[in-house]
Amino acid sequence: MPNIKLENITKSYKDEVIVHNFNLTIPSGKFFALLGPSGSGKTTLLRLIAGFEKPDKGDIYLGDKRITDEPINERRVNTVFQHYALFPHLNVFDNVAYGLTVKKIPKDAIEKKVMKMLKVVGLEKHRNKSISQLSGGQQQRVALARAIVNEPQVLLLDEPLAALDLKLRERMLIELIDLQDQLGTTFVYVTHDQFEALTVADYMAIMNTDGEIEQVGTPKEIYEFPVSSFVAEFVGTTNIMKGTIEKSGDTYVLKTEKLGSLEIVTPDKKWAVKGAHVLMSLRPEKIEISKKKLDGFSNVLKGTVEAIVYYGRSTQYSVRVKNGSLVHVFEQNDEHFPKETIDYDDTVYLHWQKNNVVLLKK
Amino acid sequence: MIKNSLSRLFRGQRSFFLMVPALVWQILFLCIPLVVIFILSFLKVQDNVTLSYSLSHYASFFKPQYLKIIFRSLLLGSINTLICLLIGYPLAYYLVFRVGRWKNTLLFLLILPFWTNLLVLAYAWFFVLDKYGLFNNSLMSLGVISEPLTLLNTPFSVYLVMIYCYLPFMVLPIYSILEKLDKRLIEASDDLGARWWESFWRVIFPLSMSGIQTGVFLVFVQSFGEFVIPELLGGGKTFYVGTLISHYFLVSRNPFAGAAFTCFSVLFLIAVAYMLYRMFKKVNSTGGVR
Repeated sequence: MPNIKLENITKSYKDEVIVHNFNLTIPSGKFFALLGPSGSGKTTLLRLIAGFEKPDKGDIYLGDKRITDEPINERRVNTVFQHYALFPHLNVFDNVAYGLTVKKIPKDAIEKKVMKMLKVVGLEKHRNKSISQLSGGQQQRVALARAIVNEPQVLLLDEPLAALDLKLRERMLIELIDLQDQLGTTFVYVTHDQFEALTVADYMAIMNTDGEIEQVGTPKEIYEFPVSSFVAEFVGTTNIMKGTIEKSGDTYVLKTEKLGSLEIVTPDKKWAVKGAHVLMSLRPEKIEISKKKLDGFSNVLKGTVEAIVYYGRSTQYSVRVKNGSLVHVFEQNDEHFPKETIDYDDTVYLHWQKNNVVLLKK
Repeated sequence: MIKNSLSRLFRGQRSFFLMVPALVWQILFLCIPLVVIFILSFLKVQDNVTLSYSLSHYASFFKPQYLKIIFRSLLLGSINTLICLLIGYPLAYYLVFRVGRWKNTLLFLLILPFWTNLLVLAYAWFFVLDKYGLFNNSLMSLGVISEPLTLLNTPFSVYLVMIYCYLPFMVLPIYSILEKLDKRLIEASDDLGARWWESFWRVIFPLSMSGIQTGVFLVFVQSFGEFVIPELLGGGKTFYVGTLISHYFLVSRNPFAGAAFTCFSVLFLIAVAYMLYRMFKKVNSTGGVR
């Protein structure tokens, strides 16, 4: 399986530049997620790889082969569309067989391949049904089968689960992971849903609203060690605090307004010299909340509970601290009868360890 | 208050009330006249004074000269429909997929003749097709022909103007279907490896079948009974269904025979329309061209 390389891609519609000098390498045989808010140009990138659009500048490579000018129907790339785009006048079998039929493959070979594919997605009993008789999840599977049966080198998925309800979406995510595992095809999955991206991806890229890549990495790297406040805030929830570096070295010390000095242990940051203005990101689940001050934590802040949102498995507390900013805390609801109940307007202490904080440049 | 109680009164029947104007129109100007025509067709004047019921009009139509007229109209309808389809489909396709920003202007030009009275349109063609009209004059000044061609009062002029007048009825339904067609399906087809003509025959064409069906019926049914164009541009020499009926009513003042011939020819129209309907149903159920 070849990898995909996008080199210095520039693409604009009318006067609006969508991506500018864009570079990205998508590793072969991996489940790759392209995550970004709407308008970040991720769908445009997908359409460029598929061949629906031509870049104004730059080149696209599939392995060593330059495919920038290769027409759509000759690329060994297939797409699963956001709203499936199944052919309404053809039944399930003929939809899946479409790509093979136009390639003039013998009928019995088509029959064999399509039935095998329908078995993989669990639709062999529905082969003669029309598309309108299928549920959303089944249509999703037909769309998948229709693309995969062509044995593409790359499968592009454009927000494929957006139209499904939550439970079904969670199940389809697992099925997609299994399928990618079985086939070993490179999957490129475009989504604005960070939960989906974190779930499916081996590697993921985060795009910002200017059509630039903020960070590429494994889901764990992205979540635990975001490189920018954009990534930290877009993937998951976080607390961002401003400050000035007071001391660098093994332990950084960040001086913040009205909150005093906070200690941070983080992999070496060359730019975090003394006096630099920086941000720190602290995930809500990494904070311990209590009405009593606890021992053994490197950082402690005092505040007042302003909002409580009960999520079932966890509860989110929003605590107003001394400098006026709101800090969010997730607390696992791991007991039926907690020893301590925290209520609105309670004075609480927020505790965290200095190695659970990430230092950010911007 | 009033608005509330009104909406309560109409709740559930809103769709019915919305239908009322159309329904009244249909009953007054279609159903009642049809019934009247149907009853008239069985009447006969006896001894120039009394009316009696009779089937003699119908009996007299089973003669070659009448059947020939019906056949001629069926042929006119079929050929007109076929040519309108052959010109209209590519035109609609071109308008939707190829023109881009000129689409609305071109569509406007296509609809423009609709706003002109059919009689005026037909007379306008007189000036074009006349012995010394625009067509002959231009050809002669270009040296293509030395003698003016006889174009008026020939089947050629009838067919030409028929096609001209009925083309929009074919283009518009096909246009609206193609316009609404989900363009992502074409992308999906391309993505799966189809070349553009394969995408056309396997996706676009089968999915536009309902537009073709509407266009075919609109053109065929109307052109079968057309009488203004054959009358004016055919010189009134050859009878078509429409011209014969108008002849009965307006010239020979025999509304009963006219009514009978109307009902008689409608039977043929229904038969052909039913055959067309079956044909389309079959094509649709097999998913179009394969």
